[in-house]
This record gives sequence, structure tokens and C-alpha cells, in this order.
Amino acid sequence: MNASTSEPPSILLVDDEPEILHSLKGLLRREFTLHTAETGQQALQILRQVSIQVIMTDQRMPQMTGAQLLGQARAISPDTIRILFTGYADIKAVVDAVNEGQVYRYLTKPWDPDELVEILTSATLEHQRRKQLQAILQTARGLCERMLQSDLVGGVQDEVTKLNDQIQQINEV
Amino acid sequence: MPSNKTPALLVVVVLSEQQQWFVAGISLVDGILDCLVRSEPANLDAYVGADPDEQLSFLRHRLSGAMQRGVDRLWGKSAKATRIILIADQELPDSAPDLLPKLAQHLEVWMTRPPISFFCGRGKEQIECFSELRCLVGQLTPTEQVCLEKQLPALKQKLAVPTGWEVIAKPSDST
Repeated sequence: MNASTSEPPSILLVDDEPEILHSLKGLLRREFTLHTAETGQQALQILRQVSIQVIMTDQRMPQMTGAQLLGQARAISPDTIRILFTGYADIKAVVDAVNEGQVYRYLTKPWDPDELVEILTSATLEHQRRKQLQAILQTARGLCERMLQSDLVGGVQDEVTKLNDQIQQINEV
Repeated sequence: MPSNKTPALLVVVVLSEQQQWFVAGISLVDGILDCLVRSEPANLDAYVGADPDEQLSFLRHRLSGAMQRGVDRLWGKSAKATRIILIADQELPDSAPDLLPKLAQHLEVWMTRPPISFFCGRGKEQIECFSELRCLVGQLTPTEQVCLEKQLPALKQKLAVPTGWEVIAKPSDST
């Protein structure tokens, strides 16, 4: 459960087989707010409209592979945690997933339903952790800038300036 | 992960000539056979005519989906697959050489949990006699073997009863 709101974490599930999506919904609907898509294009549309914490997609789909989808998803919603699942496991799929999609987890079918819930919960916590870290960095940067502008830094101006630059670099990454 | 669910064997039977799969569970507690899901005939036909790598890719994708459905159905019945057993009655028609052994090796490497065993029978629908099955990968424990051996004749009979299974429709495209 998301600590900051009472709304369950949002998950986007993508598979071209509706019956797999149906099965996943039955398994996950109690713990998560679920969105589903049967194509990569549908998934990207949802990502543009809704705040999604975790996207989990099949690799082998017509028109757009899961790795390609995650690559585009990263551009649209960089904070969304990306998970690829497949029974179509080959080294190219893994390399594409890592390089294009920078995935958090790579799952092979069949997965254990209990483990899947654990992995998705862990992914939503990771999303939450990253958002909190971003907020802390933003606050720290604002503080550094205010200190530099108001001459409060005294003899540690160089250190504060350096810290401010480092925070900016981390934010850019 | 510790589980309070009943341990079970998940058995996937592939009838090569029909290009069809069936998934059943066998409880390791009481040995009861539970017919779960099946495809329609010709579900696996997309490999025919494809190059060898694509044949392998298609079959591992399609059969992984079958296994996933079986795991999900067992989970819904408070059971948990502790081993997957895949049995093909014979080599697939019009397939690349060594397709089944390669498929078995792939599944063994990639499917770490639960472990998989892959057997091949000696001819059309000949799956009922365990001693005649050739093990391609994954030896069973003595307990698993006894459990499977006892239920193979019943499983063979159930394959001929189409109404006893939940039918999974063939995907509309080649995936």
C-alpha cells in the first residue's frame, strides 16, 4: 500500500492475450489499482494519461516487443518501474530489455503467483523510495541555493556550492 | 518462499499429431488428478514452416503460456506447483531436428522455479506407461515418480474427454 495515500499502487499490465490479463487481474486486484492494455500503443496511451507506478509487459507481442515498449515508456514516464515477463527468453530479449528499457526485473513464465505479488509490491516500494529521494534532493537543493543567496554559508561557501552542483547532477541523471 | 498451499505436480501433455496441449494437476498429498485447461487442436501449428530458431521460440512461448495458466489455476484451488512435468507423446511433425531436446534444455535453464522435467513418449498418445517415457531433462524424485505413474493411465483417458477441461482459445495471431 502506498504510504502517502490510501489509494493502492497503480500497475499497468500489458499482454496481447486477454485471458492472461484476466488471470493477472484476478490475482492482483486486491493489492493494486490495475490498468490493462493489449498492445504497446494502448499501454503508451495509458501512460500519457495516468500516473503509473509499475508497468509489467509481455515481451512477445505483435507490432511492438515488450523491450521496445519499455524503451518508449521510459521516455514518457521515467519514474515508472519497468518489469518484463516472457516465456520467450533469449539473450537478445534480455539485452534489449536492459539496454532499451532499463528494466527492474525480468520474469519468465510461469511465475509463482505469491512471488509475483511480492515482486510487484517491492517494485511499488522502489518507486516510492525514488520519489521520496527526488523530493529530498529537491529540498536540499533549494536550501543550498537559499543559503548561497543569503550569505548564510559563511566559511563553508565552497562546500555548499559543491553540494548544490552534485545534487543538480544527480537530478539530471 | 514457505507456502500453506497443497504441493502438486503440474503436468503438461502435448499431443503432437493434434498439435494440442493439456494441463492437469496431481496433488502430492492425496494423489488426486485434476484436469485444468486444454487448448483446441492445432494450437501449436504455427511452428510448421518456420526456421528452426523460430520453431523453438514459438513453442517455448506458447507452452510457457500453457504452464502459466496451469500454475494460476492451481493457485486458485489453493495448490502450488512444486514441479512441472512436460510430456510430449512423440516428436512433433514437420519439426526441425532435435526440436524437443532443445526445447527441454531451454526450459530447464530458464525455468528455475518450479523445476521442470520433460519426457517424450514412443508414439501417438502413448503417455500412460511411465517406464516407456524417455526423460529429456529433469529427474523426478521417487515420491513424484510414484505419484505420476499412478495417474498416467487416468490422465490418458481424460485426454479423450473434451468436456472435462477449461478450453483456452487460440490467440488470433501468431504470438
